[in-house]
Amino acid sequence: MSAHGVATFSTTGSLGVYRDDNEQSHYPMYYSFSYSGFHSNGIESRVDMIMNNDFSINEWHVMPSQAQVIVPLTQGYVSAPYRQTRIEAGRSLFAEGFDLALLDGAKVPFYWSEKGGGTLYGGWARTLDLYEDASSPISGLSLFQDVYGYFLKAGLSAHREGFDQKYIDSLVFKQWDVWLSPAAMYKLETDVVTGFNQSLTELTLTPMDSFSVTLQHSLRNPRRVAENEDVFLYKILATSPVEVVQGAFNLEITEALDWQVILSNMRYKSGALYSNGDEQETNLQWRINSRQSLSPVFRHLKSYGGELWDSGLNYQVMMTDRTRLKLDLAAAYFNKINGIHAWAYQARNGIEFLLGPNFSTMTWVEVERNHLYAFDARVYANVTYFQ
Amino acid sequence: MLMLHIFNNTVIAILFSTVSFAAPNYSPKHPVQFVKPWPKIFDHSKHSEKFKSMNISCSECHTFSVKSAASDPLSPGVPKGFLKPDRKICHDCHLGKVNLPRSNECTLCHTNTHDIMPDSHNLNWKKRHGTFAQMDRDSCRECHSEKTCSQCHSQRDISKPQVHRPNFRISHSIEARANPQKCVTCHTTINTCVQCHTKGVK
Repeated sequence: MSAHGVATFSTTGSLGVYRDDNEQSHYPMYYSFSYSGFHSNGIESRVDMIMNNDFSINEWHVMPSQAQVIVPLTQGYVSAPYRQTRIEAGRSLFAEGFDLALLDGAKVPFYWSEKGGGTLYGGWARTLDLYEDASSPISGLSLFQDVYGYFLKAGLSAHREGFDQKYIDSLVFKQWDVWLSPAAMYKLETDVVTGFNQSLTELTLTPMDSFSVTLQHSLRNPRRVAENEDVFLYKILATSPVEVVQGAFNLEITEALDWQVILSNMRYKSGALYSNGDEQETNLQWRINSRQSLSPVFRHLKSYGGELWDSGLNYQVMMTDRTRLKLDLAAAYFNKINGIHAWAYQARNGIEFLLGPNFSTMTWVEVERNHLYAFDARVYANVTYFQ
Repeated sequence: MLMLHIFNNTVIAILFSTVSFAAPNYSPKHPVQFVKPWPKIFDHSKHSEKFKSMNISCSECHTFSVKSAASDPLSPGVPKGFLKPDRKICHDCHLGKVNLPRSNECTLCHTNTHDIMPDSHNLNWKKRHGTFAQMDRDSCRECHSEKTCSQCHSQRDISKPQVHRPNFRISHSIEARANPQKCVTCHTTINTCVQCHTKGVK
């Protein structure tokens, strides 16, 4: 499509009020600005700025969550137009290997065919944590190729000052068009110096169109993103990698009703002892009609921090073409390791109005009751302008 | 542990077995339904000014690529109503490139976003999507823009956190000790805890 270009933006401001358990009032404020432009030569640009503040304690956080220019070098392929060789420069979300961070730098996804290519990247990896302003150098290269239906990927990444931490990532993924329609994935990260670091194995089976089941085993060894971050949160809670075994199935009871069950077991060391976590969840997703949906959920969670029995209900409805209502109800009973055991209730209700073609507004109310608050209410309102 | 080793080895054996077929291409399982009948779904009046500013001509969308089924010269030509562009041409602009006053822009045209999602998205997808995004992020671009990721992972509104379930302020101590790795996906340092646990519970 040839074009000079088009630019759109939206801006949202919201203000809320609530009281903490010391009866002090808080006035959190949120502002975001989002710009998106694409031009006749195919160049795209995007900026997302966010600002958070709590007026009562004057705590500001301003951050561009995204700011990038994308320059396409090729058109992509007929059956895979998204596989464009391009240069992406600026700040964007980065996800490679087992890493997830904000990248301040450049990425060059490139393709030699619709079934093969790679990504070259370099810059500074920044944590997603809003409270931290820390980053460390990162660079790397990953390559992938589809070989007889096997998706093969390998990559080398170098982290930290002097790039003295290096990891090799490898991945194999394959989906078969046979009985049970199995899909299998194996993903591995190896430290160049110390050897094995993290892995993930997954098997998904689809015995029939309406029923699928997945089994996953992972051994994760989280690491901080930046050298100069404060104390790494994971090390407060665990002293070893965490092993997770998870199984889930989804059954499409009718075209409008899905039933899902998820079972998880987690195991890691905390100090000298092994700690186990167990979680069981079941939920229904009922699409009542094109305007309404209802989702009940029941969950049980146990760890050395305590035990939780949780139930919830989510309801969404387009009341008119211009009005949308969202309702979340939850009731939970918990029994914590510090001896506190009680019921906790929370209701979150939001109503969104479309005020003409350029404005929307949302009012959001949360009420909760638990061992800290006999009755706590929080109110937020936001207005968004689109152009 | 023995069962886990057997499971891992079984998966690896399956991966490298000689039995392999091409993976099926994704297509919606159920018929795709639109909010209006297809001939009426596109509003020229809402788009004409934008198209003019972008120097987009009629033939950009109406490519006259539909051929008449009849071959003889006296047969009627293709009716005007058939000179329609490929449906995916809407996605050229409406996949995250244009800011619209609705949180899910797919609902602009589609009645049921569940029916246009791949089956994988119905199976514990909130926990599994990261692995697939790290595997092949560009394949997500068939339907999603960068904003899909950033609205949860980096565009954080501390006044109204929506990523966590209700009652998370109460239950997070139990959850963090069940799987500490889950927390550090977004919260990497102890400052996250200090914000509340030294200044009064919020």
